[in-house]
Amino acid sequence: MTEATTPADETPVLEVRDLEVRFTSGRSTVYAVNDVSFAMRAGETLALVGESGSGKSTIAKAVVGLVGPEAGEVLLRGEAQAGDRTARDRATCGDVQMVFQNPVGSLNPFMTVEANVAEPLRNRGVAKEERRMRVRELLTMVGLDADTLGPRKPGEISGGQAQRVSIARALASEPAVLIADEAVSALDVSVQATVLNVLRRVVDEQDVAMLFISHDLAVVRNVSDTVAVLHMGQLCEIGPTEDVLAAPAHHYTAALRAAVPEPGVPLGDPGMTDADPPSPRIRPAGCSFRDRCLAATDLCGAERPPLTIAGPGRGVACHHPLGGAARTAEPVDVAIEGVLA
Amino acid sequence: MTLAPEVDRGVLAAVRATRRRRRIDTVATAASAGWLILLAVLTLVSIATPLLDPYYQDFLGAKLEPSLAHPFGTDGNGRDVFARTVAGAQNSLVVAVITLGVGAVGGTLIGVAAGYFRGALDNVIGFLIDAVLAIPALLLIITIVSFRGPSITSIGTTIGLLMIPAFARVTRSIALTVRERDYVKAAVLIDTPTPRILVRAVLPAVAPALVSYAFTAMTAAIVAEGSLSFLGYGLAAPAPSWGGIIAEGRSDLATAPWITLAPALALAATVMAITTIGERAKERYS
Amino acid sequence: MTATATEAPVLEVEDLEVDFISGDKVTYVLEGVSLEVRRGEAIGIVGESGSGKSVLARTILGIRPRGTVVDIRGAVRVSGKDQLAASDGEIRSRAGSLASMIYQDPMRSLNPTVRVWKQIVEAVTNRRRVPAKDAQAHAVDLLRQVGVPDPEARAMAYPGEFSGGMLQRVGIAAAIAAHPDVLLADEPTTALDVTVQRRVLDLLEQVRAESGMGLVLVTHDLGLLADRTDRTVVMYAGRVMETGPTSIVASTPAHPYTKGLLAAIPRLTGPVQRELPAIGGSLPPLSAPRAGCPFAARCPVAQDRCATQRPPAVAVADGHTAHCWAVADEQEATK
Repeated sequence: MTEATTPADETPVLEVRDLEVRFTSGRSTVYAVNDVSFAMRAGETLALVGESGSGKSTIAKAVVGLVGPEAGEVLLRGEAQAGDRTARDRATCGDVQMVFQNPVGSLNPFMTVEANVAEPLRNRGVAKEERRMRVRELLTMVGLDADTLGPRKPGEISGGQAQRVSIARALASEPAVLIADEAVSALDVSVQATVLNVLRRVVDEQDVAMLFISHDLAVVRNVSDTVAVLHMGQLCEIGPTEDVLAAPAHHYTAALRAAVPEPGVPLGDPGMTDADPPSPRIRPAGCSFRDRCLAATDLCGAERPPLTIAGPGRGVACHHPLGGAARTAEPVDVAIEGVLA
Repeated sequence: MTLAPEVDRGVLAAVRATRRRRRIDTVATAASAGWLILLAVLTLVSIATPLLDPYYQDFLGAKLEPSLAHPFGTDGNGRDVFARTVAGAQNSLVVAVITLGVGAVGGTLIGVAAGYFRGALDNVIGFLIDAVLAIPALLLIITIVSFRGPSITSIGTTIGLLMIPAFARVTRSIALTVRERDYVKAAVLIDTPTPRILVRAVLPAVAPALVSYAFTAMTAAIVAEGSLSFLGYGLAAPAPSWGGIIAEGRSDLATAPWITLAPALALAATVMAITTIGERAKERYS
Repeated sequence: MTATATEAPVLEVEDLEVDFISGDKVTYVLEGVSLEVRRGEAIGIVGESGSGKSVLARTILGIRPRGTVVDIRGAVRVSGKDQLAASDGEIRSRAGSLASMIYQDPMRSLNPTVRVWKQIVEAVTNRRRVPAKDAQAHAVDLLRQVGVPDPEARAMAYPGEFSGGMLQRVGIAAAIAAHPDVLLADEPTTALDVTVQRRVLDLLEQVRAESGMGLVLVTHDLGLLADRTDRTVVMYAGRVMETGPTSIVASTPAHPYTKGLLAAIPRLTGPVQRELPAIGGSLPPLSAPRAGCPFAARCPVAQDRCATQRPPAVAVADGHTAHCWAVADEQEATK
């Protein structure tokens, strides 16, 4: 982690404050993200973890400005960003880049690998000769041979290679924040490792902040410094990855952890009921996990648990946290303060 | 290709059946291409040489049966049906090409814009398309042709305008799906200007469907022009077009069926040839 | 979990070779795959994309790809009956001995306009006439067995009235309706969240234990098989690389490919790995028969002969086999 090298008062590269995103079609509204806050610094990887419908990908879209928030703010280097991408300052637009889940599908199939990587440079008016050099550098950086792969079309390369091309293209914009949205989940394990290693190296060498979105706790554990666990658009728990996964404070984190299959390791107690999660179309009152939670009380249905300190740099939103993490009297904005402490 | 020696007979038969199907496809495509080439050559001969004059009248030789001198016979005015059919091909195909150009270009522009930008623009375009489709096509054509006169361009553009909705629908549905693709989102994130996204990411995705639909539209255009001429709203006489020749020969159907038959067969063969080649193009693209 | 070895296997695959022939192109998908499943036994087939695991599953089920000629050699026997020579009609008429659960989304595989009980017992009613009353009672029993509360009322409902989790249960009820001897599940949980995945697999396990059927779980995730299958078959490029008890394959694999695969899986326990050990290189082309071992080009312990000579099946321990020259040498040395 970068605590040692970065002064604590430095402004975070990316800050998300009280973010709310809703999708309305006709008369029905989906409450996708409900009051989520977090902050990240350069050279740091923050993982957003959760199952489908947790809102993790929606947060990514809000950060890049592909969906507009209902409430809350996205701040880049301390500056609030417009919700709609087209209204944003062009100079800062390239600061957030994204690597998508579908490796081949996120590259323009009608252009060569080289042209795909060169596109951001071209858009910024970089001259042709320099463009060619940069593309070469970028492809080499992600461990690809520019001579053999450069002239090929995306359809002619493997998934792992395509994903690395995507990373190279994202880096061409020299982003401050790199979002990896389920970037390795479509890949085979043996290939996944290669791509994860490239991402790690990029974060270290380029000093970018990486927002790593994944449903896979095991991947997250080996990639991220901080983890934020989401359930139905609510932030359940946030804190240093090792601490959170070793001793979850939220019941959902514990249940999620227990469900991850690992070779040679017997599964633990499920730690949750068989109930399905509540409908995302109803504005959540109380804790969204309460129906599936073994420790739920009436309070959980009535009052939404605020995010409170649960240890050094850790926050948990639970009325009855695990491990006896005592709730402080006053709810604190630990999502931001905690991570930066 | 070498197959392992232990391959059983059923598999070999299946492999052979696949190859036979491909051979039939190849023959059909070759025949279709051959027909279109022949048509093109004859058209050139008709334009460049006086050998095939569609207007030369031999009043002594009206309604002659097919012979060596007149392979398709002559019509009621003693004109060579073969020469008129060849000249008709030229007019019919030029009308079809103009139709296609107007329909495909207009439809693609409108459809891609509606599908990619969605929102209010999509609604307005959708309404206009519905409005155009609500007017009886024949009525519209007849009105426009009556005002502007029955020239090749006016007929071509009119049918073409009527084809815009169909092209717009095909391209809009593809643009709608393409805009949700990750590579388009990625292009937005790297600040690619929208016109460039449309040209480099959306249009190439629309192209295959556009090409395969163009073949269908082309045949429809040929048939439409034929129908119009048959109804008397086509090219003004004596200019030959397939529909027009068929119409002229109608009254002599009992006594001189070749006058109608030759252009009708030419029309049918051309439509089939274009459809066959279109099918192959579709296969190649997908 | 373990069955008596004397019993005849309910599913037997013997030296299965599958080639896809499309025009002049031949794809050699499976090269000599053998495995067997005994009554009450659960086996896992694990492999990455291109391993041929799904084609294996489909070949066993008698599903052929459209537009491609398939050349199949070898044998597949379900409860002793030849599955390859059987016509489509025969396969359907004896579907009771073999059932599949190859869909991942029951919402899509169920007809929204038909009451669920009819869909659950379809595998039974398609083959023989059953009085509606009996069929309905059977469906209610099945729903109860898979833990759907209030099964009498739920049987009459339409799929749209079920929650996602309950539909998963309906899907499993339909798969076991005809009391299959073997249930084949091809990536049954890939599209599901981990908590739901766990529920579905727990249920499959419970149903298997109660009915005594054989279970074949095809997956790309080696971790999924832990605790759930007796044996694991590891496939790569159309060949079986290693077969053995799941716990042993997952903890002390013999084959270099399995070792590499295990090492590349990120772990929730043990030390955090900043640099995950990846397997370099890529799958050999399937457009030619693989000479020697298909993993040779990526293998850290490859020898010269690996590229040319097909490795033998080496018995590492009782019921644990690896197809590898290096393992063969080790065994030789210890003797």
